[in-house]
Amino acid sequence: MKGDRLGEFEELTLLAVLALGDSAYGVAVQQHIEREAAREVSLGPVYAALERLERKGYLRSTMGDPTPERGGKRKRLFAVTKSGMATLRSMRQVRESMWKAIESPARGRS
Amino acid sequence: MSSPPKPPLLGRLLLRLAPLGDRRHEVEDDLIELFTRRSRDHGASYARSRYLRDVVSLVRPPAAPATEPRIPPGDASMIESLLHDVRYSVRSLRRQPAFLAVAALTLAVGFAANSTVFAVVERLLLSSPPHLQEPERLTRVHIEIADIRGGRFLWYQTPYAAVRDLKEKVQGFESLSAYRRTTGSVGTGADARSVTAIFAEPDYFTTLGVQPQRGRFFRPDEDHLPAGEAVMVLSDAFWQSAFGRDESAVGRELRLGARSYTIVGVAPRGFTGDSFEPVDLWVPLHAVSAEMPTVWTTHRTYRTVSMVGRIRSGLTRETVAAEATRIYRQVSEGTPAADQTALAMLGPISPGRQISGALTSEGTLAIWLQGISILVLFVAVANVITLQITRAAQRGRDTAVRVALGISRARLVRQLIIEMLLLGTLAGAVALLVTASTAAMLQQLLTPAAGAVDLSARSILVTAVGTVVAALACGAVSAMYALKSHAPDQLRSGRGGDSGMRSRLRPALLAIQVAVSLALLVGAGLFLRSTARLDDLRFGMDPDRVLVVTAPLRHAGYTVPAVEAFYERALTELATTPGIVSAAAGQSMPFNPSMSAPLFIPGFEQMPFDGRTYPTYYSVTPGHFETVGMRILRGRGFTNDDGAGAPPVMILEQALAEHIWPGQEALGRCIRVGVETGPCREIVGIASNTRRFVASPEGALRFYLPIAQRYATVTPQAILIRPQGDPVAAIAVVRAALQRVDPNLPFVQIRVLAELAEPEGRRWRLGSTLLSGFGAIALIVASFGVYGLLSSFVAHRMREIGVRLALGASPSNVVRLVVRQSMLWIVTGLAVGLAVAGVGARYVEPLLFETRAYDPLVFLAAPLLLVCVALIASAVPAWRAARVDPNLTLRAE
Repeated sequence: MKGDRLGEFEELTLLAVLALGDSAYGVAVQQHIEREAAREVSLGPVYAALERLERKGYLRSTMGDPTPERGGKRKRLFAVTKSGMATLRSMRQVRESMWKAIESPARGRS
Repeated sequence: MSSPPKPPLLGRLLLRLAPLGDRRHEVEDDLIELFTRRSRDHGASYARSRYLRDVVSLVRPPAAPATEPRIPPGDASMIESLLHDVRYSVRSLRRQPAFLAVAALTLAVGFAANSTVFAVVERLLLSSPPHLQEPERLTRVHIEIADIRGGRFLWYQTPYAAVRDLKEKVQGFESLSAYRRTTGSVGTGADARSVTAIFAEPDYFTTLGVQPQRGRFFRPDEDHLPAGEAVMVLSDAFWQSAFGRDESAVGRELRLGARSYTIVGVAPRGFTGDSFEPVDLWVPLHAVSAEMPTVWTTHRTYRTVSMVGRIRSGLTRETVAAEATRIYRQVSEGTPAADQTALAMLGPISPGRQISGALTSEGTLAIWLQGISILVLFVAVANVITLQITRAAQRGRDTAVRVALGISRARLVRQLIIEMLLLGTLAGAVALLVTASTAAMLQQLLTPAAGAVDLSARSILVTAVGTVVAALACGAVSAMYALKSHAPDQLRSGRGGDSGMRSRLRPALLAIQVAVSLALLVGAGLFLRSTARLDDLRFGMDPDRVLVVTAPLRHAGYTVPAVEAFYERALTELATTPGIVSAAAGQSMPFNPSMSAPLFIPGFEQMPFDGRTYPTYYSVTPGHFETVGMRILRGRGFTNDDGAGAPPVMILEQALAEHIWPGQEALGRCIRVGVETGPCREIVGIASNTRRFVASPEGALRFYLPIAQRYATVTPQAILIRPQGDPVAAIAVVRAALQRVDPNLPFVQIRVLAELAEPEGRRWRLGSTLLSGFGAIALIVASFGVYGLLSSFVAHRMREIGVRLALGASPSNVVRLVVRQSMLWIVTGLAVGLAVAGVGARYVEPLLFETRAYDPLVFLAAPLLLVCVALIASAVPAWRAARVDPNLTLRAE
């Protein structure tokens, strides 16, 4: 967990927060990843990833307003920071260029 | 409308254990939301199962990664996972330094006590002196004869003539060899030093089966009449100290006593003959002729030599003893030594055994000490188990989580055992470090003669095995506890394990510890009182202010007139030496045995003495009384006028005068000493009584003769000197003065007179030292027991204490609650201990010196000391309890 590198699960979490916009809280993130990645995800790793990402400065959290579906209780809402965005973009770039290199091997050699 | 489904109970319980901190509400709400949503979308059973898995994923601690060894993937080798567990144990021990210190110290005390005593037991009972071949076939041979009074007497030494016969005729001995141990002096003047020499027959070395490391031993033809060849073998220790291991020592000359010897060889390192007592050198047996009457080789009752024999293999001691007995009776027939009841006794060479094979008192004591120290170790192990269980309770949740996460029970047990092994290893290492010196100390106390004890491979092995066994016991018991206590209901209770106090076993154990400690402390106290009495004892002289000089002048070849001349000149020299108040010479010295002579008292048909009260006498020079610090009560002391030609005089101690003429004046009366027809000696003075430790009437009646008018031909043997101030500081002054008198003086021994009294007091000092030592050890271990038990109590009752504090109990209430827990059992232990000590004291009473078995001071002080120590041990847990934060404990629920 050193440095700025993102693990796979962290990347998914970050993307989920981004996708959920201003309603990204624990349960929503878990549901989103489970649906999109089509795999079973427990709550624990989601919290852990959110916490780690916040420590790394890729996410920030605020306590949201009380909502009716939680019996009027407040929940912690997450949002992606600038540095989180930058990291996501650079990862995407790396992947895309690598995929391109695979799909057109001749150019990859130059 | 049916009630909505609820999340599974186990999940909710687990959730309570999860270390969520201030995020708890948020997380709980998330879980409920998910559960509701899943029940709605996928049904209740799916929701339940997911809920449980979510909770597990929450409590799996990324929050505390250090507490959880990552369970290695399936293909990891056994060793790797073992290493994991070791690292885990090291971390977990280091996180609790207080536990580590107390547990390791407790075990270390237990181990050290055992390995110390074992090292001594081994030396006394199990080992034989180094370099001996097949020591089990070696035997010392002694002759027991009928004594004149109808009893039996065991002679350690045998007439050489008898040894020669036994050597020749007893078939059961492969070899039999004679030797004589003496103290001599090598060098002269300032270079003189005292040595232990053994006069040995050449086959002494072959009997023991030893080879020289340099040069050779004696040749058979070198030991002959009259005095053998002047050849000498050095011990390795003496070669080291006198020659610095110089190779050229062999072939050089060394003067022993009056004679110069050629060094022909060096014995192997550590070889000290058939005993552990240090030896400096060996010379041929016949060299003793220089200091003995010439009849020593032929006389049948002049007992001069010791025997060591090697039994032929296949034969038993008994058969050889029977044969030797038969032959001894046969060969002594018709000689003054004839005795048809004489027995040849074959004794072991082990220093802890008597000739009969029974244990010596030191051997018995050592076995007893071993018993006590095993008891101490048991108690220490019990204490560590208590501590470990306390600790398990403290981290019960941690363990519960790990069990919930699927760590196997075998793995859990393995970790606990590894932890205990690490602890035990640490304690064992500490114990071995101290044992090296404590064993030497104990050995010095018990049997200084058995030589310096060192840690043998066997001692180290026994300690190591003990360590492992004790550690396994601790590990196994705490693992059993851990397995039992992590059933699911323990998770619900929120506090791990059963209450420490509810189990009767551990407090009962504490009571036993207290009882044992108290019994030992009372014993120590009684012996300490005895030694205090010894120290207060008025000897009737000042033994700690007087020096005594002994010189082996006859051994060094001085003739009788030369010896007398030396003493005369020495007294003259000392009289003018600055710093010396007075000096006197005598044929014996206080605390040493003296002689008795037949007494004939005018007016008495029968002498008023029996065999046990027969008076002894000391021949002294005039300065004796003032030098040792005796007072002349009436009449006068001796003067230089009481010479050989003057009217014979004597001085009685008051007790003797009272004994002969009760209530009458003895001064001016006279006694014939030695022969009935001799001159009647006038009693010119009555001296104050002197006394010795041993309160036996034997030799308690004393009188004094001027050495110039002595009754038998005796040469002076000692000089008593009273210096100004510290006698130890004056030793060098005295030595220099004596060397001025005779520059070629052999080694003279100069000691404080009190040292001569010391052997008599040894029994009490030994008792008080050993009992104090083991009493202190038991006390330390018991205090750890109190500490462990109360810590366990506090750990278990954290919540209750929190509630009490929250409801307004004051911290002092809480302290009282905690301390009361242990006091009940401590008082029980005290009662039992007092009872045991009370019974034991009656058996100890005869061993005490002027101390009653029920000494009120001891029986008061020992329990008081124990209670104080228990209170101190209670302080830390009580303090911890009083500082419990009610908010924290209550919120933790």
